[in-house]
Amino acid sequence: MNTAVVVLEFRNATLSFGGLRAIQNVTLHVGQGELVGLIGPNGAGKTTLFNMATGVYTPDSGQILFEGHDISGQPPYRINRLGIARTFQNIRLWGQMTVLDNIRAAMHQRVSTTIWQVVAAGSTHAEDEDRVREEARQLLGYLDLTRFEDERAKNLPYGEQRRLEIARALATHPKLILLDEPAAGMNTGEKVKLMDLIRRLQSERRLTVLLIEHDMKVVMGVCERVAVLDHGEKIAEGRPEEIQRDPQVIEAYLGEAPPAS
Amino acid sequence: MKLHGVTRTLLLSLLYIAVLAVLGQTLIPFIGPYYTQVLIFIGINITLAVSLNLILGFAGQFSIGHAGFMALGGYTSAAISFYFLGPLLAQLGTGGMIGAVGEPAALAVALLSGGIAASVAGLLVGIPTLRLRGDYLAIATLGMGEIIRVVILNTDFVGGARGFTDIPRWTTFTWVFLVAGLCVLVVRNLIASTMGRALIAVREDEDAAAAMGINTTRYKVFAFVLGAFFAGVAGGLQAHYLQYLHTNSFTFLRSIEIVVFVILGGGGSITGSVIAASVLTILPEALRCAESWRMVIYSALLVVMMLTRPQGLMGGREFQWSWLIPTWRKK
Ligand SMILES: Nc1ncnc2c1ncn2[C@@H]1O[C@H](COP(=O)(O)OP(=O)(O)OP(=O)(O)O)[C@@H](O)[C@H]1O
Ligand SMILES: [Mg+2]
Repeated sequence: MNTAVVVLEFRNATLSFGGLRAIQNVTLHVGQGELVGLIGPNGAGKTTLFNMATGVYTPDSGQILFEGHDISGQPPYRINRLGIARTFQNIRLWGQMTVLDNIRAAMHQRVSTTIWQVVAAGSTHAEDEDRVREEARQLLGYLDLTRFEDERAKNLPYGEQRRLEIARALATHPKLILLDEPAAGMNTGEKVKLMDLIRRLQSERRLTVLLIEHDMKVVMGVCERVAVLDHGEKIAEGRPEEIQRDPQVIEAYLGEAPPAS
Repeated sequence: MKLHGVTRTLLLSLLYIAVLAVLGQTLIPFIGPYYTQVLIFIGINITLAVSLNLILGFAGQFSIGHAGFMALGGYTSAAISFYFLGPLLAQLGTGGMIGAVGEPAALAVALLSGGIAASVAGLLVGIPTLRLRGDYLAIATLGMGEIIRVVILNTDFVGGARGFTDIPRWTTFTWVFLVAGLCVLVVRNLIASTMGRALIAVREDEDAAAAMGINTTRYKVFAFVLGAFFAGVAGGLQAHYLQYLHTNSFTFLRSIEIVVFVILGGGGSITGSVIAASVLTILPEALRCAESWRMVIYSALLVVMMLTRPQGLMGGREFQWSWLIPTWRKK
């Protein structure tokens, strides 16, 4: 892994919603294998930045590059196929589907099949289905979700739903994963487990991670570099310790709940 | 022995066809024309309900234009039979081979044409409208159904306001249930596959589906086109059974009737659709004396059902044979 190779880059990205400037001239890069944190007060534009990187919104001006290619304006499903996967701040699993099927559906693009095969056989080539099930089960094992395999996703406890969202994102074989407040609603034990998982995504799965998180313990615990957004602008960037002492950052959080450390 | 994939599908299909053929020869002459007609309407309604369930229950797209697709398929197949296949059969004569296979072959061609016409319409309508969500899509499909109906009403060579008469009577009990069986098979196998999982993911959360690499528009259009195909074929079956078509049979009330089958049976349950379509076809027949109350009964049933069982009869589940096995045999 070479962190000098830029995986994701925002170049002067700007986006407005009507009169509201949600993102203003943001420039940010994430290197290969890096674990970068994105913090900022409520409404700062963090999720909006994720939405731009995944094709939900197209920047009004500026560029978003993935592995050197401008991806702004491409539909979300194509951007995912290029190698960017995400989780959602407000969990968006496919609730009525089982845990296993949440994973298998996310693997859809890697199953080759035709409508004729489907109609004739009830599924794709049996080997293909077996391979998908096998891989899905491995992923569930990796995220410690095996015992929920046949549960409907909506019936899972909150913390498990957050992990299932990560598992589902991994099922698409991303190079870069965007995690939107994965620790929200978790208890301390679950957070420790999550931090371990995020580190393992980087070390074992060779993933590049961009992480939005309000819990400063998590951010300080796993991130190598942190960028701070406020009112749609990047106001600081640096190593976690530096960021914590940055007067601009402290001011941005003033009046908000100060970042607990 | 456990059978897999193609072999299993093939064997079950052959068995089903054999049963239909035997029933067609023995049961149908025995029960007489009235009950045969009820059975035929059941089969047509099953096809309509299961095909709409694909769009509404599995893909989650609120379409209320199914009667429009049905009309288009019905009129297309009827026109082809009336102007082309019928005269052709008459020319070839009714003796020998032609007499035996002529009509079924002609019906197959007519139904296929009707299905294709409806699915082409589904494609043309689906690409722009499936961007819309929820209520907007419902209104757009409603409008589409009405447009199809009005265009047909003003097309003279298919009878216009007089209705289309003298369509050859080729539809039989066996044909109707062949189509219904095929529709159930196609939808069931589709849903059990990776394509089905993608469709259900679109229903459950479209944005999340797109974020996981699923081409949501493609799958919505696909469900729409396939559902429209079977609605068109069902229209063709009706045309070649009643020998008469009028646009009054394809108003949005008909579309809503099909929506009711799906919702009452439970969106996302094929067996639910089959049961609901059957029961709701028999019910007005049983209540023949109160024919004008039919819609009232539907409405009342819907209200009661939605209050007591909002997920529908089957609530997204499929009927399992194991439900019939007494519990003491289950370990
Ligand atoms: N689709 C939208 N239409 C209009 N305004 C929007 C839209 N999405 C986001 N916004 C606004 O853009 C701003 C940034 O929102 P965003 O969700 O990106 O904040 P955030 O940093 O993720 O905040 P939080 O920490 O609360 O999740 C907010 O003022 C929000 O109200
Ligand atoms: Mg957010």
